Amino acid sequence: MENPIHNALLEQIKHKSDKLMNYFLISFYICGLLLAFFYDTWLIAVGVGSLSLMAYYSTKWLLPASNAYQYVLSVVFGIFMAQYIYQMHGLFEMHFIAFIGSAILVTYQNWKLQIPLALLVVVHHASFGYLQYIGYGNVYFTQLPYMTLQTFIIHGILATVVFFICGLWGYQLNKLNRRLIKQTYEMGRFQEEQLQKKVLERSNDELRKSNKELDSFVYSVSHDLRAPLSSVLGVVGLCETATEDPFMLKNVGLIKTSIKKLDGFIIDILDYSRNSRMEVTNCEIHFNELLSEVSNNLKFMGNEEQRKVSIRTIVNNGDPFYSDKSRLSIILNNLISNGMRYQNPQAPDPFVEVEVNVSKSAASIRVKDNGVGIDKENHEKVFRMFYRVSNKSIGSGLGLYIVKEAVVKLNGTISLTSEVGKGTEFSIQIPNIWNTSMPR
Amino acid sequence: MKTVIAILLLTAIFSSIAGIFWYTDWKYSLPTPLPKQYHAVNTGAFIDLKGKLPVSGNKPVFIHFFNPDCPCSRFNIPYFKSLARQYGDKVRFAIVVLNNKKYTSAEIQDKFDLNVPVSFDSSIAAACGVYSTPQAVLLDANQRLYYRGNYNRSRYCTDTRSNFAQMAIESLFNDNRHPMFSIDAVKAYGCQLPACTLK
Repeated sequence: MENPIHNALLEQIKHKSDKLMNYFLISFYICGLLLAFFYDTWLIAVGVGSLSLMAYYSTKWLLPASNAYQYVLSVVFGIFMAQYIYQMHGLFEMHFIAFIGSAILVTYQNWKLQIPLALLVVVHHASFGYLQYIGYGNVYFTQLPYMTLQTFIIHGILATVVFFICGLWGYQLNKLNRRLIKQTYEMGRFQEEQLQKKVLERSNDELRKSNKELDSFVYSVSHDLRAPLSSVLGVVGLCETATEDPFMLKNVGLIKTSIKKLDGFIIDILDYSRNSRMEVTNCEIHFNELLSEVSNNLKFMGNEEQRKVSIRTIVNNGDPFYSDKSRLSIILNNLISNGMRYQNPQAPDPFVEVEVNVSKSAASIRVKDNGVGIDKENHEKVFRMFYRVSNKSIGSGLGLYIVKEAVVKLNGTISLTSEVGKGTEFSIQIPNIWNTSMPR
Repeated sequence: MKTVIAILLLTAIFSSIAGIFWYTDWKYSLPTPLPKQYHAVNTGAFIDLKGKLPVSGNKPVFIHFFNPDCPCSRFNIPYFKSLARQYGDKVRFAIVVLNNKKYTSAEIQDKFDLNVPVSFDSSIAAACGVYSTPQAVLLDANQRLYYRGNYNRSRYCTDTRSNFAQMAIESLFNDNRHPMFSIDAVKAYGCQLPACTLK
């Protein structure tokens, strides 16, 4: 996994290691100077040592972004080894400098850094060994009796093992670091998620609570408003019978209309409140009964001057249908009353047609009228709360919003097609709960 | 562009490093130049020590010409010690210090951890025809020059096939009257006299 935190940490490791290298390189240089006292190898100590440092620092300066200088460092350690060996005229122990270099390189956590050093050692020994083998003038390798070919091979193998192990540690360290960073990162993220979840849950709970409170408030207020309204309506009725003054009768009629409108509005709010508050109940629906109930309730709706609207119902009752009766009633009541209310005065025969087709999976209900119709741009908006197509609209602006909410509660869908002047058709799909929850 | 510069620079630096190694090696491999007033002393010549070294008697004498400031001499110390230990009962060993600074016999003996006579008389070197350090001179029982030359072809004294000084001792005891030594053996290598200057 590559992420900014990881890169930053690697950069930090690199930076720290680079700092350490300054001390190591200075120490190597000083060691060379100290060794020069033995056999006056000042030219080697100063010349080779300085050039080595120059190679490292110039690469670092020229290519700071790449890690080429680390590879140069690996070579420089090899050169220091050669320098010390030379300064001590082949003192065998100086070969261990290669191992020190190898160990130092572990800090960069990159196993590949071992390669230049190992290669330098191998190439150096192989070429000098070859020169000696072909009998080139100078003697490069000690010929002490205990230094047999076998010993050389063993030394070579051991050196290889050291380089390999140091490389392995570098690799392992790097892997471990990566894993550690990943774990830390994921743990942090997990904690953050948990915290967010907790906060979300708490605010969710609060929201639910306040929503519930609001709903019950709306319900009780609406309910309490209706009682005095009924009283007023009763008193108005009394007044109506007690007078024959046409002026009074007209005004009392206006009061009655307003009270009925207010009552309708409160009923709408109550319907909405019930819909959002109450659990979905489950009982068998007989559409014929339900529709006749609804149309009976609506018979006396509307003003006297409006024409009578014929309500036609077509029910194809194949399978038993289970759903929430009160919500279906709200839906049908609102749609049919809308159809009756917004009739087209030009149409000769105003009607509202309800067609119900019941299947095992769902009931599809079509409510069609030949009323004024709805403008296309308002098709979406009519389902919004308190949205009224025009100022002439009589209703509360809640009807279709409640219909939509109720359909959603029943896991159904609603759509409409309409043309101004020709009529409106609502199509509703309500799933049959019998199909999913009832034993077959 | 920077990469190219870096590569060129590194190549130059590493070449210079190789060059320094090569130059140093080459310089060490040169024979010591002959001094201007050098009187050659041939093998077989009688060397009159005139009591300059307390080595009288009928034993062969092995003289080690040593300069504490000469790196080659310093490096040679362990080897001379091993020779002195190995042949100490048959050959008398002595050290001639060729240096302008003041040293005491005890200091020199300390360096070698050997109880051998030490002389600071540079005329011994002239008498033996020695003009560099480290050099070995082997006189037979009659104080005639048997061998004068290097200890080893290798500066590290590790090439057993070119342990010339040791070979000379062995040859002497094998009663070889006219030993043949290679040019590597008798051509003096090492530091010039009296101070340690390689050139």
